[in-house]
Amino acid sequence: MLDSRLFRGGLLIALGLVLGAGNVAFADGTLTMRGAYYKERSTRVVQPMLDADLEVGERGQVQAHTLVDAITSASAASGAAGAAFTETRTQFGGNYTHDLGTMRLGAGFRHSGEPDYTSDFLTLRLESDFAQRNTTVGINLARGMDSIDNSGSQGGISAIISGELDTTLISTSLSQILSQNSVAQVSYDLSYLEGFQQNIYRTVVAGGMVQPERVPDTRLRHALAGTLRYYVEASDTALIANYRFYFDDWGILANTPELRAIQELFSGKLEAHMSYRYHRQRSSDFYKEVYDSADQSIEPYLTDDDKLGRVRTHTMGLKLSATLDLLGIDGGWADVRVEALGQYLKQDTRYGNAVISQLAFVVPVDY
Amino acid sequence: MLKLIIASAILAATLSSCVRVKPYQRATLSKSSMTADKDPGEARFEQHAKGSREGADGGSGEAGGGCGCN
Repeated sequence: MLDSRLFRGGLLIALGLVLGAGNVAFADGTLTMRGAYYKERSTRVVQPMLDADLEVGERGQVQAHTLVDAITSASAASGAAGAAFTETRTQFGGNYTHDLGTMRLGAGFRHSGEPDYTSDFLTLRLESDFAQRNTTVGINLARGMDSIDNSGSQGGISAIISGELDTTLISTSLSQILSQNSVAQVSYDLSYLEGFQQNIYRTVVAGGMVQPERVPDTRLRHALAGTLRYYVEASDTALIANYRFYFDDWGILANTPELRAIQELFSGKLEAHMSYRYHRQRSSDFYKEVYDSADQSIEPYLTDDDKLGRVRTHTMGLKLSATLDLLGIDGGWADVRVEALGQYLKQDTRYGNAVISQLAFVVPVDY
Repeated sequence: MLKLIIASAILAATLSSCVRVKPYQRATLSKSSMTADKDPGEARFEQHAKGSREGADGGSGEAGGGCGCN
């Protein structure tokens, strides 16, 4: 109830800012209203969200968001016990960044709540520029505290299960300008999870019986990523190559390359974004579809969770982004940007293939 | 971790000594396609969707997860 009041409050503040657009300006920013949709064989997610990015004073920047996730699924992997269900998750968060010249300091938080799961994250970020801002080094620290409790969920619950999960993330990044039209970035994320990490509804066939999932209480995850951006002046095209290498102590190892091309049209009033991403991952050490024994001394961990198995995903995407002056609209609304995005995910897991679509309105605001 | 930070600092110092693009030469680099071509909401939804269907997560500098959709 509190979460839905906060979402409505955020919406009212956003509307106020939109209606105030065009008045005497002391600072500016953007307000984004976005709707996202995810559909696969047995799961559908609808997510309206609101993002604000606003200047505060001469050196401050505030970003805030609120969203509601409505998930309908027949899959236990998505959250409730047994048959098809609909569940709502509410999330809100914000962060403040202060510019100290060649250095930026930031702090933020994020809260997510649903009937059987709550999560709170705190983040701290430090970024520093070197060599006349040709080089930027950043470090991000985050701490997450999750609580899991199935007593408030839908369906027939056979046993009350509850637990806590703590997450610590350390992320470092280095961004380097290579030339007047190219820039590179590398980052390394290290995260450590400790606590309850199984899905409270997922069951596994082990020793001829149905058993609850059990996975290790700790997980150490590494992700090394690199991005290269190159702008082709002759055709107004930005080319982006991204690669991530991931491994963890559960035995998962993944390679994820991605290519994106952004074509500017009509003097930049219209942008066409095309993307292709390939994800290939090795199974965790303990994943099996069926276990011969449920004995903990023989099989310490039991999971048939598809995402802990071998995964191959191809993602193809197209996004169109246009400002309203493309349609001949002038005045204060000419700079409003409309985005439409579609993605097709070819997944080799039991979830089947999926589609993602998003529609967004990005409104510049002066205040 | 310490080795990575030291290696990053050495790499940054080496690269920054080679390349100097002046502020007035950065018109192209300031385009949204050369900085962040995805809005926070778009990136957040994508990370959430991928994080609930793939066992690998991270690389964005942001904390993933935080929901019961695992």
